[in-house]
Amino acid sequence: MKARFYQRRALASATLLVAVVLLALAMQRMTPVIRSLTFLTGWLLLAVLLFLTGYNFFKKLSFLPLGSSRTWLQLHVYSGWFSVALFVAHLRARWPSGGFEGLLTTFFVLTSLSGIAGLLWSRLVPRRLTARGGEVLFERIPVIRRELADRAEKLALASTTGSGSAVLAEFHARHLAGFLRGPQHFWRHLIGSQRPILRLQARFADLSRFLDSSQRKALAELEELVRTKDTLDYHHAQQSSLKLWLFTHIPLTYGTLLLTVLHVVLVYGFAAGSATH
Amino acid sequence: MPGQLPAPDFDASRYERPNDAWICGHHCVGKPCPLGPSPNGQCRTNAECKPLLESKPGETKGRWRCTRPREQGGPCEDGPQPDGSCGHPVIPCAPRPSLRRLRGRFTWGICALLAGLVLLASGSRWRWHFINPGPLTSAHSSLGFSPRTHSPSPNANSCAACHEAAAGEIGHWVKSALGANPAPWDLQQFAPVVGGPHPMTGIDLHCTACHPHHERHQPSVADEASCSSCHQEHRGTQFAAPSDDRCADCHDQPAVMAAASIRGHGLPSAQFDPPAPPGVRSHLTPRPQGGRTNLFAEFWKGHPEFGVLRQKSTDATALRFNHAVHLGESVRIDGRMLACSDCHVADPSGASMARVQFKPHCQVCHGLQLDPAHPELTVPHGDTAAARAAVRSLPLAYAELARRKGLHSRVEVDHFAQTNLARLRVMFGSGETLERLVLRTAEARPGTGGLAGERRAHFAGCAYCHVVSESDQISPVTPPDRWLPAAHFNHARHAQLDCQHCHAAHTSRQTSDVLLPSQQVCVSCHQPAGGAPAGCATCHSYHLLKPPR
Repeated sequence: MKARFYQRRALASATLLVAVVLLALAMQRMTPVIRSLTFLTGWLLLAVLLFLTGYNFFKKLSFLPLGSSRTWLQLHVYSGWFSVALFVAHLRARWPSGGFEGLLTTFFVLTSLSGIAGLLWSRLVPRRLTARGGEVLFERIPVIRRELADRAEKLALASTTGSGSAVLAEFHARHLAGFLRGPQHFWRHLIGSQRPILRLQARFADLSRFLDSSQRKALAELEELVRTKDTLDYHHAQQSSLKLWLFTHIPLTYGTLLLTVLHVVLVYGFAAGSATH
Repeated sequence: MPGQLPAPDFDASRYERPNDAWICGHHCVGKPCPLGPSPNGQCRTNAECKPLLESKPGETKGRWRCTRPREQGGPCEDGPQPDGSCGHPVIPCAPRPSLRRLRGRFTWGICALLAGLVLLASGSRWRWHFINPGPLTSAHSSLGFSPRTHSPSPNANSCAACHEAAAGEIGHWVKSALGANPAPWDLQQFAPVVGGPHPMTGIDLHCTACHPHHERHQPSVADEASCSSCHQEHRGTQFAAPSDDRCADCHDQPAVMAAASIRGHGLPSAQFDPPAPPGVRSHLTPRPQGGRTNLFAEFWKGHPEFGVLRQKSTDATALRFNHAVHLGESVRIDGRMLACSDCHVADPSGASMARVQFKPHCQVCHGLQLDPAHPELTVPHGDTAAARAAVRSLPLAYAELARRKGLHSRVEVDHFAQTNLARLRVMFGSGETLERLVLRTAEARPGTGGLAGERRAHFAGCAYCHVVSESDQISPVTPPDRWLPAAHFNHARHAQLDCQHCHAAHTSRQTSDVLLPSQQVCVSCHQPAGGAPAGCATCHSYHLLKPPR
């Protein structure tokens, strides 16, 4: 399985490398022959940009035999790298000096950087989640969280009824109810910090010394639920970051496309061969 | 290890719809309804189930049965209300947009904001600065440019001189883009151009409104070539030099050169002569038969020999000068041999050599003394009439010299003058003979011209160096300042080379010798292997000629 993955990556990387080398050669050799080489790279870049933007659309055409979503993602990633090479060739490795062209270039660069950041992040997050354990659909997290909270509440109430002591119920109400009710410690989970759960576990250890054996058993079950909830929060934070990252990449992509359309209008209206007086 | 996530008894049968635009308002508290909101975001659940009316055969009323699904707890104990409504009503929720819908809204918001900003910038007074892709060349951004442009309206900015689209607003830009030549969808624009110059485009026609045709290059240019293929505007205050490929589009194309040769046939040669800058004398080589239509692609590959050498032109300067003698052992100044730089000095720019002048460069050796015994007496330079007058007024000159030497009495002055005049008569004969010697004799007299033991060469007479006519007129000395007027050369950039590397002055004995290096001498450095720039624009400018009036 792993060998196949590396084989596929090597093949795709080699294809990308060949495409970039061919592009460089074409830029070097064809410049004297093709007057509008910049126009050619520009249209090619626009086509690649449209293909990249259409990734979200293509992958959803499940009724057509267009390949799996994973294949489309790979095409998206490698096309993205190629678009960067095309962009450099189109600009001839020169940052434009005009205001509008500078804006367009900035958008493209930010889109590319956000894409690269997203690619790296999407590779990192699954590893982190696997290392932490558990497998949760993002959309199911609120339901699971509610279930955990209900269980904890029942456990605390049952302990009160069974032992006649309200210690566990008070502990639940004071320290656990709020924790279990909603997602907690988003930023700490994003960076992989375990300080909040360790602090809660210390409270469990403190309380454990004052309980009898039956209460200790209930406390251990509560602690287990809290640790599960902490893992759920970790999943929520990591998966949320993958969802929220798109709030940067997609608007930048569409902004780049919008500016590109105006760029085409300006190029053909003003530069390429505008009509005579 | 934390507990299993999700718990083993978690009901995973629920179907998630992450691509829906709306999610149940109870989802965030973990109690979403199974049905979920409608596609337009309306809550459509008001009870836990929709009771089903069941009736047995023969019954008229029937019974309502609870249909709550198993995952929701199954049929309730209380059952439906008598009127058939569910006994467990659900509080309606306010559905919330899904993350996907929020992202879509955010994206469109950003796009709308961006479009608004761009439209605002495009409609503002700064729109030309905003869309300007880069600084214009100084000629096209000068204050004098706008009035000379053919702007379509008095209020039009100078952009409209070249860009028709600039005469209108953004809608007009779109119209111009769609009407561009070539149009955006015209695949011909990507076709390789082989066998000739790049064809004219719409924008090029604006160039020719002020710069008609290609007559500034050569009147024989047969095909109009695209101006913008060489000149990239909005790339800085100066046009960058075009690449050699653009030159080779014509100069390496047999058909193009043949057409130019035919077109140039019969045109006056003077039309092809590049003008010299004010005050500069150029050597003009006769235009060869068929014009300058040799085929070549690079300077080091096929560039013809310089015309002045190819046609074996001679230096017609009316001066008798021997470079070999002056650079030889016999001529010394302050004990050392002469160097080129003793006479040839660069002009202030350093690019060209200043003219050699008599007083600073020649007179230090070639004094104009008439009488070896009295070197103070000199003949004026540059005017034969003045020289003749000086010879004829020698008695007065000796008398003046006597006074300068401290002889004040008339007798002493007269004696001094007469004695020296008599000595001159012995040396040269009569006054007429002396006058002829001064003006007309080209041969050196004994003791003239030699520097052995003396610093100065004695005056041999005007004709020793100059061409003096029968009417005693000296032919003007007008050596060319530029031997290759169609090219430019910078001496300062070649300062690291010895002069003799390029100029064979040590072997030149005649004024008529043209001491230019051959093209091959230049190629020894100006080629890729030589390291020096070898592009066409290194020496040539496309616009050789004056614009036609």
